[in-house]
Amino acid sequence: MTDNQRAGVGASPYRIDGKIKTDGKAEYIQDMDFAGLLEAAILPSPYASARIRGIDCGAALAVPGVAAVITGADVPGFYGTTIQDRPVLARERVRYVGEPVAAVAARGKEAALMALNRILVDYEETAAVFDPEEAADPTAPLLHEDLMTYEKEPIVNAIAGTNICSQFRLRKGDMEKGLALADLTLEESYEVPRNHHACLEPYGVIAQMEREGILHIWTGNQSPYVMQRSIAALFGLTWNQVRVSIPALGGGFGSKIYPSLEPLVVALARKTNHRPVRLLLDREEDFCRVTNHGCKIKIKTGVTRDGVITARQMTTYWDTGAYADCGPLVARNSGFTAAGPYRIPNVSVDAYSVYTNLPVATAFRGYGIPHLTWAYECHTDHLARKLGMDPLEFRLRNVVRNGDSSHTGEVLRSVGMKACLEKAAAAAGWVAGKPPRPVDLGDGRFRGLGLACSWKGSMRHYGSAATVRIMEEGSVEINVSNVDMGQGSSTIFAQMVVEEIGVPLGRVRVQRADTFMTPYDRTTSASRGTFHAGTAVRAAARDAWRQIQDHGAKVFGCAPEEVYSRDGKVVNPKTGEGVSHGALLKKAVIGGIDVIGRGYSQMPGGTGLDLETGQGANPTSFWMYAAQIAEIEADTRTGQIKALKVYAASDVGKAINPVNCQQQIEGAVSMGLGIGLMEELRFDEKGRLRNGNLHDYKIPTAMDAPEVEALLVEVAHPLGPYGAKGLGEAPVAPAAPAVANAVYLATGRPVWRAPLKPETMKKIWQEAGEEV
Amino acid sequence: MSQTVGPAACQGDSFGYEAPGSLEELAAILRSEAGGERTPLFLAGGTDLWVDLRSGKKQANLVIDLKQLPELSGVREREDETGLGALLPIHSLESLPALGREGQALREAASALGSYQVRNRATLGGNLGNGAPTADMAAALIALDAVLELWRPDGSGRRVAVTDFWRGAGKTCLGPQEVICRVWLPRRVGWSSAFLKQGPRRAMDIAIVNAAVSLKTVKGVIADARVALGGAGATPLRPVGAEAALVGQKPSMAIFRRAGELAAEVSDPRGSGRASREYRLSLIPVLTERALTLAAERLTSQDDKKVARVK
Repeated sequence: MTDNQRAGVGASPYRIDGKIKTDGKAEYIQDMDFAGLLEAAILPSPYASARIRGIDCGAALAVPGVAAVITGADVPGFYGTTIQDRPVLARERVRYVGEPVAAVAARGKEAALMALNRILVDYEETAAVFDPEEAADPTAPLLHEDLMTYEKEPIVNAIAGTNICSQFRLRKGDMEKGLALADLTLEESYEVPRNHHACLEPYGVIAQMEREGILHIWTGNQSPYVMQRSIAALFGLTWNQVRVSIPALGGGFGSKIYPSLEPLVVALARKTNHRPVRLLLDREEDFCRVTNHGCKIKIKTGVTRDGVITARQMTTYWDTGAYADCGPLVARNSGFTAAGPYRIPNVSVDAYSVYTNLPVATAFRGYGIPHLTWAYECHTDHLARKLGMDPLEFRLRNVVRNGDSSHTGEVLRSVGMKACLEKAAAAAGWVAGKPPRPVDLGDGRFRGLGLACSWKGSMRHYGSAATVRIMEEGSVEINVSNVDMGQGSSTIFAQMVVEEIGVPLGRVRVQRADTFMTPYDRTTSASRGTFHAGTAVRAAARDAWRQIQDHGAKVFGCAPEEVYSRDGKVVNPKTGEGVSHGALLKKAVIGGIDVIGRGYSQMPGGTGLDLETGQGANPTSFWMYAAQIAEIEADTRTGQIKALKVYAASDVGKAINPVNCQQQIEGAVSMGLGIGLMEELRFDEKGRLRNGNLHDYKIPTAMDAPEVEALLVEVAHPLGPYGAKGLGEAPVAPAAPAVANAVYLATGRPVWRAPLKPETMKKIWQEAGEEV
Repeated sequence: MSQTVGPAACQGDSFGYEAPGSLEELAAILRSEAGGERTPLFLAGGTDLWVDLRSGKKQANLVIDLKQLPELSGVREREDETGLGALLPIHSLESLPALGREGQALREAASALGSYQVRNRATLGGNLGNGAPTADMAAALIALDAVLELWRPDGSGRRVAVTDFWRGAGKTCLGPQEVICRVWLPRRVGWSSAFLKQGPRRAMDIAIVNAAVSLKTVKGVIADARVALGGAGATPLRPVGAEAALVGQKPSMAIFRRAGELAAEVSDPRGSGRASREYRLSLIPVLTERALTLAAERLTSQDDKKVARVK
C-alpha cells in the first residue's frame, strides 16, 4: 500500500516520522535532560471539598536539595480556557481530590517527595456534589461563589447562584407544533460516564526562566500558541517573552490542548534562580489531571407513522468537574449538533455544563459527540422498532442532505452522510428495508449487525499560518505549529509540499512546533489540522513554487508559468531537461538566500451562535460524517459482547493519504468500542478515583480489537485543501451505539448506559429471562 | 492532617538483595538470616513482587532472587511424570511439547495469562506461590493432578498434591524458608483437558472466574474427571461433587450442565472491584459446562470417536 516514490496528494507514503519512532529516537519530554534540572512534585488534596485552615511548609523547606516550595498564597491570579476560575494552587479551599495544594522543586524526585511528606495542611471537610444533574440544582453546595464575577469568554452563559457554569440553548421551529404532528413520541434517558484519554505518553512539562528574560516551556501540548498567550497573561509577560517548544508527543486525544499544570511548573521555575524545573506525572497522577466529561442525556422525539422525524428535544448535563476548562465550549459545540445528522424541523436543546467536585473534565476526541451519538443513535433504533422499520431505511429517510438547513439554520453543503450509510451498508450486505437477521448459535450466543451514524462540526474559522522554506542546496523545511501527536499530520503536510513544488518526499522536513520559530496556529484540535493548517501549508508551498518558477524563468529564459516539475525536478520547458530544485536555486540566486513561501488559512463568513436560540449561519468551517456497522457476538450466558468486525465509513472530503485515513478510522473504532464496552472511571462516595491506573481501568487490547474495514467516502469540500475535510474525531462516535444496536437487534434488550460490561449485560439478559 | 506520598518500600538502609547460584548457596543465605531481623521475600519473575514493592503494598528488607537456580529450571521427563521447573516462564508453557495432548488446559491457561511481556517474565512457580485464587496456572494444574516438589534449607524436601497447596486467601502451605522447585504432572494417557477464562477483557487481565477440566472416557462412558475453578472461593477450588456426577455417564450437554450446577453449589466467591459475588456465581456453571464440552470434543481415542463431538 505504501508508495514512497509517488508521495504527493492521494498516495500513501510511510510516515515521515515513523522511523525515528520505531527506532526509539524520537525525543519526548521524558527523554530531555538539562544541566541543573530540578524535579517537581505536587501535594494533592485528599478531599473533594474542604476549607484550607492552614499550610505549614517549614519542615519541607528544610529538606536538603529543596529549591522551592510554593502554595496558593505564592501565586495570585486565575486561569482557565473559557472561565478564569482556576487558581494555580488551591487557595482557601479545595474542590476535588487531587487538586494541587502545594508544590516542590528539588534536586531529585526523592528529595521532592520527602519534602512533600513534611508539608502539613489543616483541612476542614465540606459538603461535596458529584452528579451533574444534582449539582445543577440550585440547592446543591456551590463550588464557585464568585462564578458571576470571573472573567469569561463571550460564549459562556453562566447561571447565577448555581453550579451551571454555562448553558447552551438551541431553539428551532416550534416544539409543541412538532410534537403535535407526531403519531408517536419516545422519551428516554441515557448516560455515558467519565472516561480517560489513556495517552501512551503521560503528561510532562519543563519550564525555565532563562537568564535573558525569556520564559521557556517545553511541554507535551497540542496548542503551543494557546499556551503562550495564557501563560503570558497569567504572569504578566509579553507574548514574545514566552517560548513554548513542543517535543515529540505520544498521543493527545484532547487531553493536552489547554494549559493544565504548566502554570504551576512556571510558578516553581520563577523561584529557582534560572534553573529548569521538570514535572513528569506518573500514570496514577495522569489519571487525575484531566478526564473526559461524563454526561446525562434526556432525549424526546416525535415521529410520524411513515418514519418522518417531526421534533426532537434534548437536555444534557455535562459533568465538567471542579473547574470549567473547556466545559462550556463542549456543551456549546456539541450542543449545536446534538439532535444528530437528521432533518428535523423542530429542535430544542438545553445543554448544561455543570461544576462537580471531581477532577477537571476537558476535551476528548469528539468533544462530546460520542456521548450524544450514543444517546441519539440507540434512541433511533428504539424508534425504528416502534415504527416497525428497518433502522437503515429509517435513517436514510431522515438524514441530512445537500442544501438542507441545519439545526442552527446553516445551509449544508458537501454532505456525505447518506453516502457513508450506503457505503457501510453495501460492505456489510445490509439492504435497506431488509435488515439482516441475527443468528442464534444455540448455546446462548447470538450474532448480528448493528448500525449507527454521526456528524460532527469542527469549530469556527480560526487562523493558521505556515511557511515553506526551500534551501539553496535543495532541502525543504515546513514551518507550522500544528502538532503531530500520532495522527500523521506532518506526513500530510509533506505530501502537500511534494504535490505543489515537486521535490522528493525525502528532501522535506517538518519542524516541531515552537512559538519562537513556527508561525501561528490556533490549535491542533477539532480535526482541523489537514483543513486549516493544510490550507496554510498548501498556500505557502504555492507561494514558494511561484518563486521557483520566477527563478526558473530567469535561468531557462522562458515565462514563469511555463516552468513545471517532474520526477522530483524542475523542468526547463525549452529542453525538457530537469534540474534539482537546489541546482536551479544555485544558478538563480546570489548569496545563498532561501526561498520562503508564506501561507495563511483565513476564511471569511464564520458566525457565532445566538445565545438565546443557538442559531447561526456558519458556525463551523466544515462538517464530518461517519457511519458504522458492527458485527457482534453477544454471549447471553456470560454477558460478554465481542465486536467481530466493524464496517466504518467516513466522509473525508479527499484522502490526502488513504492509508493514514484508514489508520485514523481503525484507531477511532477501537477508542469508540472502549467507551461502549469497558471504559469507565469509578469514583467512590468521597470523590476518590478507584481505578486510576491502566490495570484497573480497562482499555481495549489488540485481542479486543475487531477487524475494521475502513471505507473512505470523498464528498469534496469547496474550501478544503484538495477538497479535504477533517477526519480524526467523527469515527469515534458510531462504534459504541452500533454495538448497542446490534445487541438490541439480536437479543431484543435495549440499553441506555455505557459501557456494556459483561456483568451489566449478564444482569440485563438474566432479567429478560426466557425472552432472550 | 498530613499525608504520605510516594513509594515507601525499599527505602531502608538495611535493604538487601541476594542472588544465589545453587540451592546450597540459598541454604547458606537462609541459615545466616535465620532468627535475624530480615524476612526474605523470594523473587522469580517479579511481575507481582516489584509492583507490590513500588506501590507499598508489600515491604521488603531482603529480596532473594531465585532466577539463577538450576535446580528450579528446565523440564525433566520421567517414565510416568513430567517435571516443570518452577522458573519456567509462562510463555514457554504455551507451546511445550512435553505437556502432550492431555496437557492442553495448561497451554491454554498459559496463553490466557497477562500480556506477552508479562508471560515472558512471569514464572510457573511465581504464579502459584503468590497464592491468588484466580491464578490461571492453579486451576489448570488441579485439573491435571499436579504434584508440587518443595524444598527446605535443611534438605527435607516434600511432595504436596496441588490441591493441598492453598490454605486461604493469599495463603499457601509454604513455610517462610520453603521454595517451590518443580511441578510434576503425571502421564495421563487417554485424557483430554480444557481451560476457559472470563476476564473483564480478552487479554491482559486477571480472571473473574476461570475453569479447567480434564476427562477420560472408556467405551463412550466417562471413567474419570477433574473439575477446577479459580475465583470461586478464597482458594482455587476442586468441586469433587461435580466430578462424581460425571463418572459413569456418557458425555452430554445435560450431564455437563448438571456438573456446572454442582460446581456452583460448592462455590463461595467474593465480590471485588473486578466483579460481584453474584456475577462470579453465575459464570461458574457456564464456564464449567463449556470447558467440559470442549474437553469432550477433544477426546480422540479410538473408543471415543463416536462421542467426540458433543452438541
